[in-house]
Amino acid sequence: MPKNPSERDNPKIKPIDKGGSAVFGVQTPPTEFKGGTTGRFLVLMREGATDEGIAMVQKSTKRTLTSSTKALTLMGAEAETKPEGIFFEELGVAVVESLPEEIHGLSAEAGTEASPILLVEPERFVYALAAPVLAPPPIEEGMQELAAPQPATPFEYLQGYRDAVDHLVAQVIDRNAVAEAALGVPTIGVWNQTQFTWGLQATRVHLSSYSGRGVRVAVLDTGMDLGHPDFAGRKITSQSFVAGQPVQDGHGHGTHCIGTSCGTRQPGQAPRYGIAFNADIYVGKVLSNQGQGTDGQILAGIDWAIKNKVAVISMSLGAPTTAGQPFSQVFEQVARRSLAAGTLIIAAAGNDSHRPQQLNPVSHPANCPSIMAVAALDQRLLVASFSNAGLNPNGGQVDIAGPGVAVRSSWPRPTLYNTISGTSMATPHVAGIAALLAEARPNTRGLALWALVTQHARHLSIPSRDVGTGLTQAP
Amino acid sequence: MGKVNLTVSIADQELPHFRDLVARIKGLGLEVDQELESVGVVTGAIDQEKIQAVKKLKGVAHVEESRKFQIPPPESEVQ
Repeated sequence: MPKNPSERDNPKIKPIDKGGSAVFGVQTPPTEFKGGTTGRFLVLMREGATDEGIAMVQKSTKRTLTSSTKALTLMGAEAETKPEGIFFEELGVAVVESLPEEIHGLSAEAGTEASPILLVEPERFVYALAAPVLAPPPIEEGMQELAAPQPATPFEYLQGYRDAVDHLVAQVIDRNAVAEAALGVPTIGVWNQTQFTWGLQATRVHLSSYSGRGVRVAVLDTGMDLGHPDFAGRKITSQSFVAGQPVQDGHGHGTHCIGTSCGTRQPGQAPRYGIAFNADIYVGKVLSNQGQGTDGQILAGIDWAIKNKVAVISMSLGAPTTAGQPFSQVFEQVARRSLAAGTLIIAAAGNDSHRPQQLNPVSHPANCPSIMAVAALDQRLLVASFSNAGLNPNGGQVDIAGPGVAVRSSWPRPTLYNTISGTSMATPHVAGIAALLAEARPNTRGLALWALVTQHARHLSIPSRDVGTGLTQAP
Repeated sequence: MGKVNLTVSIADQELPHFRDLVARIKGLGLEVDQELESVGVVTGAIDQEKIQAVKKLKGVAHVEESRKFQIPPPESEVQ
């Protein structure tokens, strides 16, 4: 953000809500007023390479860039002193008049490693969204001679307003159509799952070019069927924290969750159900084959995962909480240390609700502020009836949602596949996608990865109390 | 008095002396189960009446009774 508010707030320096340009020496013909672009271009410079960027822009466009601070002074002066282009130091952005063919060279190289320029795009008209200035009321006959000369009808302004409204309406219509098509949400909630589970489609995993390669994902659960054919050849590290029980999954829950977060691209039997198919799998058995565990076992699993430098921990487990119950201080402290160490913990919000009649608060330990809490969605992208809600203050909110109803994934032999529901099934969708994001941004870990995951969610028209920032989306 | 399972977290500033602190907590009667240095937590069992002493020990941040988790059986539709 610009540090100097006078730069940021001065309306003169923004693209103007009139057809002509008050900023630049060259006037934009009023015909370009009808929406679209201004004939100027925005050039985004790479951080630390702004001098090279400015030089490059000046050379390509044969126009001189003036710093925004200086441009402000010039703007009050005569027309001939108006700058040909402006550079906003704080933003690293230049705005310059240019013919498309002049800018083309810059645009072609933008974003390459050698170029000081990241992006070139045409400047758009921006309209003020404030209420229009209405013409004064008509003056009664006979009063006319006495009335002061009328200001000209703010025709241009009104036209701008109309254009802006037209533009907005068109955009909204467009966006709805595009959004639904992009999401592939069938109107009756039935998905074609011959190739991919509905969960992979709704989260756009099937379209992602990432696979979690080089990213370590720990799933703390009932262990895993280490001999499942869909995981043959995978890099798996495992540890049991349950006395007397090996990692081998005698329940099924763990194998199912690992299937969703890290399962193969080509399962023995379609559809594909796994997300980060190249991730390194860390299996921490913290729940027994009878599905039981304790805080101590789970903390031991988290400690082990951090020691192994995993980027993401998926915990499809929880203990119910009651309204007003505070979160665990021990788990919160652990989760903060985990984030600081570069490990993001993602946990199930819990299945204690019976919507719409009864809403229960997010479970322990997902109710800790530093643990990401995941709600479950059904195939219509509505919140699942059992999914807990963000009722308790101080971190007890839902952070994000994932597919959690009728989720198909791997199951211990000889069954191989099973379709079940729960926030436990939604959680590994988010964890798998976190691994894809971690691969896409190798330096983004801990709290920064959290931000990336929630930023990548698709907002839904459901209260954030139920789904947080929305449906998790693959990069 | 019955034993209680505890999780004890160590304050940030005491983390460099994690092992010393664990030794002191042991001295107060905790039968240590796990020393989790990466997360700064020690778990174990202790007599109910000795919990207060652990809570009061300098360098101990939080003391909680270990909760139990139970996920539904494998055949459940919702898990």
